[in-house]
Amino acid sequence: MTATAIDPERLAGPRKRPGKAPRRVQYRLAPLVLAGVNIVLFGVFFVWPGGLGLAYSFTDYTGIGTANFIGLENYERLFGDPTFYTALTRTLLFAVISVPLMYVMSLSIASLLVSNYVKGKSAAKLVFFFPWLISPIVAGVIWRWMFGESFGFVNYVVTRLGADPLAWQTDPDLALMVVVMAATWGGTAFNMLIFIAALKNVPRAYYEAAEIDGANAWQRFRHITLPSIAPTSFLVILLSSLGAMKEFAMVQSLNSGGPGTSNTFLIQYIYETGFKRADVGYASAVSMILLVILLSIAMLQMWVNRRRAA
Amino acid sequence: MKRRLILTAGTAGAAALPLSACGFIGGGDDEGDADTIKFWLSGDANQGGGFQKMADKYFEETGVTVDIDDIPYDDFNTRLRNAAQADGLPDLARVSAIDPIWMNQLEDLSDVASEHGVMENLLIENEDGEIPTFLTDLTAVGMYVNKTLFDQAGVTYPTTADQIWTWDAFISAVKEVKAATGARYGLVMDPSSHRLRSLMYQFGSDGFLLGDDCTYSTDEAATTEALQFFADINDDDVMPRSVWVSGDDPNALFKSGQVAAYYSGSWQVADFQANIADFEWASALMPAQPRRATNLGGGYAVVFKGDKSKASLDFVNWLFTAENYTEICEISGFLPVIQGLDIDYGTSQASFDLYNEEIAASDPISSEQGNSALEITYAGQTSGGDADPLKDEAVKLANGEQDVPTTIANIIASLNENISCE
Repeated sequence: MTATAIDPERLAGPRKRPGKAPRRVQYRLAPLVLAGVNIVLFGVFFVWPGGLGLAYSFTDYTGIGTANFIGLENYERLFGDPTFYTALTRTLLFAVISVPLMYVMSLSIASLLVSNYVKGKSAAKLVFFFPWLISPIVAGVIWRWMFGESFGFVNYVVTRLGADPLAWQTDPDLALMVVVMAATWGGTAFNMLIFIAALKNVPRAYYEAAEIDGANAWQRFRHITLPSIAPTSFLVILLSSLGAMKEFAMVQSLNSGGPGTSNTFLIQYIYETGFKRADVGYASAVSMILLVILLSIAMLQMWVNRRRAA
Repeated sequence: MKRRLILTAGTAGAAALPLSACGFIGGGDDEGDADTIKFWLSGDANQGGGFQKMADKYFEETGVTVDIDDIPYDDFNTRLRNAAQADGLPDLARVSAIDPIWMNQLEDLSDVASEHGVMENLLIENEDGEIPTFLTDLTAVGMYVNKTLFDQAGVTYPTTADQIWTWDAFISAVKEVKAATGARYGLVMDPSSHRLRSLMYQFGSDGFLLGDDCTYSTDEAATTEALQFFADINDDDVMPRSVWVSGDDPNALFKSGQVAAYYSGSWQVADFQANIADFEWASALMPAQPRRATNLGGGYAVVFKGDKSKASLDFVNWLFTAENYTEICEISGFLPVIQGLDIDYGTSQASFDLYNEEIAASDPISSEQGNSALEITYAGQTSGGDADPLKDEAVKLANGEQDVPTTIANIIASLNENISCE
């Protein structure tokens, strides 16, 4: 992004008369001033804490007192820590299940909402967008109540239908499913909005031409809609994967990574070690690993996207 | 908050317009007026807003505003810690633990304590012989039963000391209630190490104690028995596993009327009194196997050094006068830290009498957790912030992730890792 912003060829402006001093000098200061606030904010709220985190990850800092440099010890401990691997695999599993689900859900709902045959679109939009307006903490509590093992609504329905109540809170896999459902429910709204905008931008003429050629609805969707919204899909998948890897507040209030520690995600693990056990150095090391993972995901997806575009 | 708004609005009305504008600006969080003291606490609403009512009364009597900030319990220690680092501590607070980070900024409360006769065994001196804090009120672990279910099943529970039951007898009793009434569970227990400690005390274990060599140890046999018992009753039959392993709310479960008994504490009385209408509940004596014990706790009063410390000390002193202290105990359902007061708990009198009897009959170990936490902090030893290995490992035990010996070993290892003695 920054690379294009300071592209000298374009900034040089229209033709210059030879012999005059180059005018681009003026453009040096203005962009800097205009971007100044952002640069300062980026520095204060991203580079500084990020750098501090990196520095802490090489120390035994506990939040108070002095931080002693201990080299790579935190990282060595980390790579030998089974809890870290459990948290990592569970986080990845969550992302792998929830991201496609969220993608399919939001795209389906968006497609329905732009269809000409659907009635009551505004009301439906409101209903589908509602979860986005709820704080993740509240969302977690709502889902905890619904899937409460002893007196939850879902188990009530299940027992009414004559089946045995399910262990939504004490079975690790079912508990993960509840988290996946809650995350999908919460994240669909925003992605749906993005998709609605993208779907509306697909030229109608393509569909009309395809219809004349005898393409059915699925073929039109597969060969016109999907390719046309590919950049949007890329954006949605990228944002959802990053969001899934960073899911915290909702899980914390839903089942706090339970049962036990079976569904502790990386972010929670960082929180537990950093804030509860006051092992800031170690938690910083885990955060750095998470940063690397998130960066790799972003770069991998950008690479795939660029190859497809090329 | 509301009080401040009314006050500021009042000032605004009385003063000229530019002045009132200043009033609004000056009403910001950090400044405060000369006669406003900032008081941080947690959960006052749950306790009937007793402190708020006393603050209102104090304002009427003295014109000094006590501005109460009710902060969620989970966030409280972090907020104070951050405030200390940002030089923004309140003037006084009711805290759950003393943090080394602000330990040296506390006023000595020994005068207040001695003037009003706070119980001796609750006063711990720091290295300088000062008493930086003492409990504003006592809480004790206790047992509640769903009287409706017990009566329906025709099962009795002890209300006098000569009828004390063992944990085994208790579990068979709740199983009987469950079978006879179709109740969902026999027992729920708060997912807290505080309650677990009390269970261990009742099994004759002293919990995990810090020795002179700066390592923790435990009475293996008794602790094993207690933890094994805990693991065994977490079977989705006697106790719902969801409470310990995934944060289900035991209070809500008990209030559903489908649970025979609830192992919690004295602070629930006011809540139950107000919010349980569908069935009858009662406080019962806790089982002893063989030892009678509870686990004492409560909020610690601290006054921070600074411009307002004199005003804050005056308020604390006022609060602990017999008349005012009796009043807050009655409003909030506090067990008093001052003996000899005549407190009228109204309809909850039976529960509180039972608690007072239980506290009096309990083994001295029951005040160990709170006192040793203070001693450790005063001695400059650190025990690792908010870490709670006892609970964390017990959760894994209840979730079937590990067995009892591993749990004990992990707790000791984790406690030892966190403690550092100078």
